[in-house]
Amino acid sequence: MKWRDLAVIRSSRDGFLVLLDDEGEFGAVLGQLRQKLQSASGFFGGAEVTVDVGRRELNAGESAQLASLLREEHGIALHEVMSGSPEHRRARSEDVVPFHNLPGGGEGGDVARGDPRPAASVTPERPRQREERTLFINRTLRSGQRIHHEGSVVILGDVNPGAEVVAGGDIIVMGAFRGVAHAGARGRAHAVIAATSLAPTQLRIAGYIGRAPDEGAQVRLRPEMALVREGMVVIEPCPGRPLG
Amino acid sequence: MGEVLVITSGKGGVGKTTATANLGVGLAAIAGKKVAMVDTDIGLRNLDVVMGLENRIVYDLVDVAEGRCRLRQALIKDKRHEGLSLLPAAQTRDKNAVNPEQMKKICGDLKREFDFVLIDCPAGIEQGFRNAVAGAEKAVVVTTPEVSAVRDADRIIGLMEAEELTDIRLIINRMRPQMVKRGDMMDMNDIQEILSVPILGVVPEDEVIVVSTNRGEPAVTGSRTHAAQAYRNITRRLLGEDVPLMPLEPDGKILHRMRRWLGIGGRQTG
Repeated sequence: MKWRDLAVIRSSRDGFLVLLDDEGEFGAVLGQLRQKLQSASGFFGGAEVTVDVGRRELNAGESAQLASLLREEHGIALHEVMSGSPEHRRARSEDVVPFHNLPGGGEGGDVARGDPRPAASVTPERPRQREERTLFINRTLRSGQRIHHEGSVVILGDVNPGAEVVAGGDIIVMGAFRGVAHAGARGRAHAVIAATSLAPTQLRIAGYIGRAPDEGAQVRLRPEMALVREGMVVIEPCPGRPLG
Repeated sequence: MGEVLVITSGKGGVGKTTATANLGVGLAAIAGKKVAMVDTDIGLRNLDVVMGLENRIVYDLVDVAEGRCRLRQALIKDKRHEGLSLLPAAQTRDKNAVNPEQMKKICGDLKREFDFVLIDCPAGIEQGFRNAVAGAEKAVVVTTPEVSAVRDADRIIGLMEAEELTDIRLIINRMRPQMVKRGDMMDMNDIQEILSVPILGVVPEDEVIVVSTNRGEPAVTGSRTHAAQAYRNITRRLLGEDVPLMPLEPDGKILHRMRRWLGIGGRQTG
């Protein structure tokens, strides 16, 4: 039988992405991850990683094992765990479990749904700087203006050519999008970019980049969204149906 | 108290100085207003040349800012047009010779004496631009129907909005109706869709502008051409008159509409 890599570590723009095989026995997968981390002998110490567990759904015990392997044994901060099949990820982006929701992470509470907590409750080794609140912007972004936000971004206005929106989560534009967007900028490949009218210069989702075709790009006057499918940024109509 | 308008564009060569000269002459000669034009393009001054006043410069903007002369000494009165004055830029210094605080003071002093203060802004978004907008209450953005000019216009509109200068209107310069008709040029709606600021006027491309600019006599008063009429209309709009703007429709008879709208075709000729 062909030997398979059960754990792959990749560097991404904002840290490391750990891809775990979703078919093998979880213990074996973790074992291989442990080996890899050990052979790297402290290289990842202090780093921040996102773990993609593929289609596998981690139960509480498995989550705790993973968290403990990374943090206790190697001093690696776990930013988030991504799970679910690619088809499910889009619909279930709320299911992404930020580290502090994991059992053993030291805190309860559903942070992904925006439960504001005072900074004092933060555990010292994992400051909650990545509070994933949604940023609302109530104006048009013009050329040269740039928005950078760790959570999702909602813009009530246009995003003009030459403007740039970078978000850790999704980007939703209630207006015409003509600029550059980077959703899931910390490696969340299931992030989406949606706009009332989508005519972008360039779209980036996690590490995937798509650009407008050189010729014949026609602007459709219906809401559309961009997402990653099979390693490519694709644009689709928004799932909702218009009235009438 | 007068109002201070900055004429700006981001991109160079789109017609800021020409627009400033034509609006200055239009407001003074047609409407009888007291108008001061200020050239803030220190080191690359042009407005004096376009106005044909180059040989009368003694003091300039930097001299005023640094207190070497009084404001009144530096202002050049245009003898052809009652009420029109120019504060020229220095040619031997650079943009850093003046700061925004000094510009605010100069604009404040000028608007006590004049009905309109027109600031001719340099290209770019650096110190010269910051000086030019510092004392302004309203802005006129000049663009041409080219993507690069529109992009730069968008950029400076954003910068001005960030400075809380939000009364912004647009002049689209060098429009070529034939090209728009063929679909080879952005039309007014394409541009407004991106910039979303009110349109103050559309000036068609016209040789007479080049000729008059070289002669140092802005076209707005004498010429019977489309472009001169467009500047006359813009002058009236600046005065608060409601001069209708005919939209350019890609499938309509643009040239005909344009002629009618500019008042030199059909019935309006007579």
